[in-house]
Amino acid sequence: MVRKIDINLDNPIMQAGSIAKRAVEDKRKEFSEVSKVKIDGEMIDNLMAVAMQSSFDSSPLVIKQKIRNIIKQKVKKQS
Amino acid sequence: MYLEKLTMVDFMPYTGTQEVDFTCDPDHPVILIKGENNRGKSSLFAALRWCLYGKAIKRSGRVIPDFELLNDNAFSEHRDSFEVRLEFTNNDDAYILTRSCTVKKDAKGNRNSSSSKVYLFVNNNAVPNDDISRYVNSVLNESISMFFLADMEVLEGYEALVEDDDEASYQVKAAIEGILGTPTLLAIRQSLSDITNDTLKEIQSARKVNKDQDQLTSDLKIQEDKREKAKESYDSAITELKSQKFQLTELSNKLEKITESQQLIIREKQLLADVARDHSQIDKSRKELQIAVRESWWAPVSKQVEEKQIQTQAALQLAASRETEMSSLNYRLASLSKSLESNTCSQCGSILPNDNIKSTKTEISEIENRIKQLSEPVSPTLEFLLAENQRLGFFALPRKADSISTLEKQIRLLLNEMPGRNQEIKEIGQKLLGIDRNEIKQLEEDRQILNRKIGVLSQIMKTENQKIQDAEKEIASLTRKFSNLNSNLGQSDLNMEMAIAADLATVMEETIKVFREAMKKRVESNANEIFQNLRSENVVKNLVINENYGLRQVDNKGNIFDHKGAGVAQVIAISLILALARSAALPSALVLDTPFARLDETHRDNILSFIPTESKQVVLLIQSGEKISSKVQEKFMQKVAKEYLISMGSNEHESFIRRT
Repeated sequence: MVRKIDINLDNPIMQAGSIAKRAVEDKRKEFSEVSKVKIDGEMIDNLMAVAMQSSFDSSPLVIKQKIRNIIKQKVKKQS
Repeated sequence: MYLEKLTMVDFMPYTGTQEVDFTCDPDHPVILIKGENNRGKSSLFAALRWCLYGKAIKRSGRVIPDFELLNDNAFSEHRDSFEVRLEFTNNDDAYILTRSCTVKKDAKGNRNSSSSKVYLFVNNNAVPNDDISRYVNSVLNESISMFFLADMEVLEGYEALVEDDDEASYQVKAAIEGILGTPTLLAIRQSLSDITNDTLKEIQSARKVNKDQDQLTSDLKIQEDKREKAKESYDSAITELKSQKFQLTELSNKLEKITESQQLIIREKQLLADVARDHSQIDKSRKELQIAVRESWWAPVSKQVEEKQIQTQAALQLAASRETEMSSLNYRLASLSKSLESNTCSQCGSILPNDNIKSTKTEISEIENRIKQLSEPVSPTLEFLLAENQRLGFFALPRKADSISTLEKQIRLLLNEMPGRNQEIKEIGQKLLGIDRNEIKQLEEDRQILNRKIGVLSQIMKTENQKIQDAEKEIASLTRKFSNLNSNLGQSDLNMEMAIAADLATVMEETIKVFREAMKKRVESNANEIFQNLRSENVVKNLVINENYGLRQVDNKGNIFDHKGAGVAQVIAISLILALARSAALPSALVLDTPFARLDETHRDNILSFIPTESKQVVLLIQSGEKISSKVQEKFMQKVAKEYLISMGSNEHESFIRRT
């Protein structure tokens, strides 16, 4: 049996990460100056890691806090 | 989630304790449970759902009240509780979930209510009661459970379900998206929007903080100026005070050196004042003495006047006494004379007896004699005495002998003290020879002026010091506020965070859109592949997925086959379930209740051949006597880890499940 899927990633969230990385490149020119510099593949991987860790009933507050920390670290790291 | 063991105690038709061991391995992933109709296949399925989510649902969709779940035989035998325990694994964690229920009876002995308890242990650690639901849903969310704990008779019509625009349809679509992981991405997208809003608010707040900071800076400057001004005044006052105190010390030193002279001057001053006062007193006393002595010439006259005055007073008293007695006697005389004339008592009016007339006459005679006596002139007469008294009054001056004596004594005393004082003054004068009295006086005046100045300066210092303290206090308060404001700043970082969050939100929006399409394609592709393996017709047909995750058959020209039999519908439903299981973000065991109910032998064979390859664990609840063709049976049975049979006990309310 051959699976006819275009992305060789079993986990859908990982597939979403791949899609998001492509979206970043597609939209980069529309980004603000700061985002052009700071949004990268590593950031998307970190976002998807949060998504992977977050089960269905994870608190939105917890997810938000984790993502905010990712952004803060990126700002702090590169500023 | 993969099942390990199910234990039911007096649950629905299962009397007593019944166990099902689900352990299997990849080479033998199938657990086969067989049973006649109404023996308890769906009850076993319900036990799984009730244990996990606390709800047992009939195929009609009705939630069965807990008290109805107690086994009838157990209830007849006065057992009032039932329990289901499920052991399972998830990501190498071992879970033991136990749900029990106690049924209560009404007055007639009918069951009418119940109370439940639930316990969860993860790796032998108890989970707090409030967290149990969250834990269970994180393993297999209830909303997506319909595709993993699948009642095929319900899901058979899923395609019609997803096409409808109602709550049930929404739940099915949400469940499919849930399996694919879309909600997680939506949560990320929502979080990014929230972060954008949060940072915007923080920036606005920081701008307000900036305004507040400007105001605080201004206030701080005012307070610092106040403090500096007060400090200057204080410093100036303290410098001046030092200077004044220095001068005071110098003056005091000088004055100390001439203390004796100063004391002498003071003493001299006091003595001179005393002498002056005494001279004044002596002069005054002498004048008084002269007057007293002069007045003393009239002393004998005064004595005669005094004697005359005594006589006059006595004569006046005597005259007054005679006048009073005379008046009284005249009245008595008149009364007695009247009585005698009328021969009656003057008081009671009765006739006087002879004896009384006689005594009345005697009394009248005595009164007349007395009146005659009193009427005789007195010598000297009162008129004379009054005239004489008036005349001598002109010479009636006070006697001064005592005053003269007192004054003479006083003058003598004062004169006696005078030489001693004069001597002392003379001696002081000699001691003070060569001393500049003016200088001492000036120094003393200077000291008094300096003391006054020091008093004023001390007051100024006290006031300025208070001002400094007030300013310091205000500055400390403002600095704290300033510090708090500064800690809330970092506006440029906030701007960057907001920009990044906003752009990431756009990225996620695009990602979700593409992801949904990709997932649909993935589900469609998988379902199509599975469908090709399960279908029995030779006609070339494919499945296509629509916006609502509905799967339809199309031919190679793209024509849709809307009409399909119940068997095909069930095959399509199984295709969807298996496709979702393949695509799931969280893999899980598949429990399929009555998957073959409407399938012919060919489809059954296809499913039995295919399904063991699609999950690490497949639990099939099938009807006893379900025909499996010999060509697939051997191959299928090789995949079966355990086989169970549900059978009836001593009565229709009693079922047992036994491994075969």
